Amino acid sequence: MSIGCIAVDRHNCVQAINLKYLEYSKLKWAPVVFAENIDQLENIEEDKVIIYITKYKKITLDYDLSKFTEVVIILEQDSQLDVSLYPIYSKYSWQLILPESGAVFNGYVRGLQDDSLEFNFYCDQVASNTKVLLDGKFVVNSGYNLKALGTIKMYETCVSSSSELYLKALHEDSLSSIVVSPQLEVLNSKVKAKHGSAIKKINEPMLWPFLSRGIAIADALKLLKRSFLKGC
Amino acid sequence: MNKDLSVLTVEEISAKKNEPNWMREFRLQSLDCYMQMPMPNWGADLSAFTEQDISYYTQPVKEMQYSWQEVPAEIKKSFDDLGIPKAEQEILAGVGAQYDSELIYKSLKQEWLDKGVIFTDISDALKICPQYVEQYFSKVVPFNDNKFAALNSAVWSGGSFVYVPKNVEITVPLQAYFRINSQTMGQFERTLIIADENSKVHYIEGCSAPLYRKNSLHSAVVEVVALKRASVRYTTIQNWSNNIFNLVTKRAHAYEDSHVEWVDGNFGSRVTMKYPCVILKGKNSKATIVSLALADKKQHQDAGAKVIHCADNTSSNIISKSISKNGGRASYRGLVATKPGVTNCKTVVKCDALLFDDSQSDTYPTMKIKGDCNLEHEASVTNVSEEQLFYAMMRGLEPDKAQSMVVNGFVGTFVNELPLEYAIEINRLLKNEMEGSIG
Repeated sequence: MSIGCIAVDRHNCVQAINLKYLEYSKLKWAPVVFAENIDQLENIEEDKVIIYITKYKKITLDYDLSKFTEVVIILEQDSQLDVSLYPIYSKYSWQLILPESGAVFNGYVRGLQDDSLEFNFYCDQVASNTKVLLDGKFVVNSGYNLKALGTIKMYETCVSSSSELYLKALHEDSLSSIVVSPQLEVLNSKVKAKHGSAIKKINEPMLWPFLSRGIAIADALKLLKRSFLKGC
Repeated sequence: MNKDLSVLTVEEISAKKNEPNWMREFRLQSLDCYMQMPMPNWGADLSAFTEQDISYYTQPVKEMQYSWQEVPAEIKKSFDDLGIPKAEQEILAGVGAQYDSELIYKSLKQEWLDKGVIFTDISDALKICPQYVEQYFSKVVPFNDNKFAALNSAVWSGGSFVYVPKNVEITVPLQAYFRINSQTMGQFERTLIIADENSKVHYIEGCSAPLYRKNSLHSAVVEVVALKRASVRYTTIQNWSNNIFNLVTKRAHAYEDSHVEWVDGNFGSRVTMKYPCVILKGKNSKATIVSLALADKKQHQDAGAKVIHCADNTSSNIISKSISKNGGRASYRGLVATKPGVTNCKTVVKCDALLFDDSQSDTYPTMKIKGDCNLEHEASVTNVSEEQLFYAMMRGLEPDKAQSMVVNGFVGTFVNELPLEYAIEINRLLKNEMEGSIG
């Protein structure tokens, strides 16, 4: 059985997870999906999930995780997960746990929605030779709010690891409010860590290349927002 | 004199300084506020700080002197060793020297006295220019801003008061020097700098203390007011001994077309919590905050920067550098915020950390934007890579010198902001601190 709950009566599930890694987890109860049956994610009805990527598995999710508002991702040795999120709800919380060496995580969050959004990302980078990238880009439409908080904690044991955390936002006008906070806690000198954030208001010079080619302002705005979200 | 923290102590300090009634009331109100406020539950660990061990007032000499010849020989020796009288003659416009709780010496060159510049402490300013003190004192940092601002407001003593009149540019720096020379001493410096319209001043403060077994406290409040088109640069070189808790509140109000710069070097102390702040209140005002923190064994440098954009066309630039070694911990805690409705604000934040050995580095930046603002922030944490060392050693440099070169390059942005004489000293200090760090 590869999908289940963290509960005593779901014996197979409890056996399959290295329970000590759940000590880091902020979710104490949630359905669990393993790498071998990652497609089962679509069948989960709850709004929270624990994704457990077992040793040596490399997975790129074809669809995004927007239906889950709370996600815990655990990566075992030499595994990899590439994942994306196009938010549809107003609050998301992701936690990433890398307790074994060689794990790689690439996360892409692209927010373009007509609603306010709160996105929280927390990463425990425990083991050596691990890599984390979280690239968050958000377009904040008029009158809506964005709160994007990210924290990566690199433990004493995560030698030769690297982390990158970017939170960028484009806002339409001064009626929106934006709070971004990319945070790093580095407890090891043999690592490399970067983080960055940028907030820009859409202005005339940004739209000019579109307008000068005869594109209407509404279409120019759409193109600009989409190109911002798609760009590297 | 009573040395513990009580209404009696506060009243004694106020009476000794012959203060007006409003200041005495202000102190008592602040004491009440301090007693009620909890210790901060964020930032550095303050559990080793015990307020009952601290002596809240120590008077080293009877009164402030205006000539080094009149300063007691034992105290003068401390300042001679630091080269203060020599620097005063050669490169400074004026000097203030604080020893424990009181300013024991101050001077200002005749040229600046003639132009109406005032350089003294606040107690003295209350007598010679009370209108400025009443207008600006505690207006930038209210007594209830935080627990240690409240403590300072209750028992402040010493510090500097600077008033630069309209259209006066002080071309050479003013310097204040702070020395804690007793153990379990609390030094509560209170500084107020007012730069009137179209004026310019560079103020430098240096701090040091001998090492004792017991902890001491330096809890300062610094208020800067830069009026229209004024320019204020405030440079701090903090080299307290490793038994000092350095808990400081520094804030500036920048009015139209003014420019405030904080240049902040933190090398010493056991714990530092200091986040220089600029509130950009006037159109076209600018803030620059450049800081360097060096965290060695058992040190926690929790420093940072805050800028609040309250007016249109304001800009800010924050550059923070930190070096952690031998298990030390350096944290950057920053806030950039805009008030709703402001337009065309720009801010750039850059913080870099260099890590050695089993040290720790944290960055906690926060950006709160509600308005037309462009903001960029980037940070990196790295160590001195083998490639960098190899590159330098290939050209014949010893490993220590190669590392020293990399570190000097890393801190260059900070050192370049200092007057030449200080830059040389800082490079020397860094070289001594970094000795033996390689490997």
